[in-house]
Amino acid sequence: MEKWEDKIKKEVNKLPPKIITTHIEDTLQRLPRNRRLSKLSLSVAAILVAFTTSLGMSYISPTAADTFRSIPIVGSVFETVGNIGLKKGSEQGLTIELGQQIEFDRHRVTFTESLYDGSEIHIGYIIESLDPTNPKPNQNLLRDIRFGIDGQYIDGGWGARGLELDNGNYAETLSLRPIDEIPDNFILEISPWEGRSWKVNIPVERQGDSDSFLVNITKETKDIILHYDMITFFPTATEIAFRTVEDTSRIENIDNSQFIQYLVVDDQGRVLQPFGGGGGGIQRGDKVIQSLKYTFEPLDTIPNSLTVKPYLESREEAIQVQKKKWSGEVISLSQGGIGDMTVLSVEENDGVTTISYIIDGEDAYSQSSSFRLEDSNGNHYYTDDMPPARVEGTINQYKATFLKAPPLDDLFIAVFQNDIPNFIEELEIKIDLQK
Amino acid sequence: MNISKEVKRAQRGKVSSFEKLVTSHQLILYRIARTILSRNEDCADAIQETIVKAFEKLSSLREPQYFKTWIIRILMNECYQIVRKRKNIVPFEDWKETSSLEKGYESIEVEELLSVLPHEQQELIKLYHIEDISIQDLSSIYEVPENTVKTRLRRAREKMREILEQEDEVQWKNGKIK
Repeated sequence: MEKWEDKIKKEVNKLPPKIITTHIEDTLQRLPRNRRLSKLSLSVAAILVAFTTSLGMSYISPTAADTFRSIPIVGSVFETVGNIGLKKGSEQGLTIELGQQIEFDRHRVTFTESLYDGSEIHIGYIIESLDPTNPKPNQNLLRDIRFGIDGQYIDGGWGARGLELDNGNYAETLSLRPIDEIPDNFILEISPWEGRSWKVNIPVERQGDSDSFLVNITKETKDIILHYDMITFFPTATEIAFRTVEDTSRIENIDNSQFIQYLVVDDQGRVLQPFGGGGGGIQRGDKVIQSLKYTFEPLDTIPNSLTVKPYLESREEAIQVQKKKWSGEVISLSQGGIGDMTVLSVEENDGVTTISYIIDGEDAYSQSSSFRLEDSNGNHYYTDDMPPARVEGTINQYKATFLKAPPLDDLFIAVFQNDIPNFIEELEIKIDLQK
Repeated sequence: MNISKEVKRAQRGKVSSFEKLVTSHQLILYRIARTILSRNEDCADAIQETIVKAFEKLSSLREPQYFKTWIIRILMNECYQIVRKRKNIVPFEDWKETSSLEKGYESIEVEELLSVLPHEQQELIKLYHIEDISIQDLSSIYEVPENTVKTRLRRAREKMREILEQEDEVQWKNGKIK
């Protein structure tokens, strides 16, 4: 090494001064402890090359109006691609119509609706390509983004679900759960993680009524204490708030088979569709205390009771498949230890095949989507409804539609077989809501 | 410490693993930031932003073994943002300030000489001389093949030699220019 290089080496290998180490320690201290993002959260990091600035608009421009018209269901992204909670919220008129548009990376994003009822913040938007040589929009365009409320960046989990529209545009809903408390009315700012080339400001106002029930009941096993705090019935979701206390050693050595999930059943035996959940926590000595909120499908009326059944998340991957040919008669298929599926009818109308079926078992929600169609050549067909819809007014009857399916005379129904969930009975609770 | 293992744990939500990763890389983070930014306060800000972004985006890291170069890239972007904001590309004058505290004239002279190189070559040479940064790391940071890194380094060093030879009046003696 030459002398000048030796000198550079000395110069660039200095030790950090105290200001640096203190700053690093402070930053690490402020990280949310044991944070889990929403189950919906997406980890895809899209590299955005942004070109243009945002066009915040307080009116609906002609291009935005055209984009709105491209959405199949009365111009509502929420009703077109939202989960059942968003659909209900939209039907109840809780949405605020938007019209903001941003253009970057040869795409235009038109924000159509916002909805906030005290649970999660939901935003609907349409992504369209402005590149004539590549008219299919990038469905992952809005992944590497961050959020601010009234000018302050916020922390939280978020997720998105979308659908390609007939005209090639992509409609998506984004649901955000801030970790900290937020005001009832605020401006939500969405901007890219990298750079400041665009941003959009979306007015959000809390709408709708909610009913909260204090629970304040503690359950425990030798490893876990679970304190149920509150149940809130929002127009778009049923939310359960609770705290857990676990040994640090359990958290540190946790793997996928040890994450706790929650199955919620109402007084009629309906298993509520889970939407997601998350929260944060702190470490105290050898214990980790987490405050968590999990959301499930909304209920039209408050039930007499709700039963929460915690279970360990991971079950054996379904490998066994039972397959039966549809012959026009009711057939029953075993889904393994977890229960059974009874197919009532298979109908084909205008190219859409609809299967009606009853689920018996421990987790009707997950069982309802645990099947596919096949033909005699072994081709597989999956439902377009994820998850399938429970038939209104029933406990465990579902309908699933398939845009692609075998002809009825060559149609097989194949179910995946699963074991019964690994319930933690000591943590189970039946909450009386009539008191 | 098994970096890949800790990254995977951190990706599963174990914050203490993320802390371990950051703490074990804090030296290199500082040294990298210091090659781009002149003020320690700016380095602290850049590192802070880097930690927050790395924490938020850790799930997007597909190859845990590349944690080091991944977080360095985030850091360098943060540093460039600060540079763009303040337009204070590290001048040798600032190095002079800190170096002079140690009464070391040599570093001033080296920086003066280094400043003759284009900015990219200055940066590459500095990064190359940071301990614990390999050619392979530089290849990953700049997203170019290792041979390209070697070629760029060779050119930068040749240029430095040329400059040193041309500067007839520069004689290295006890670290002072005579």
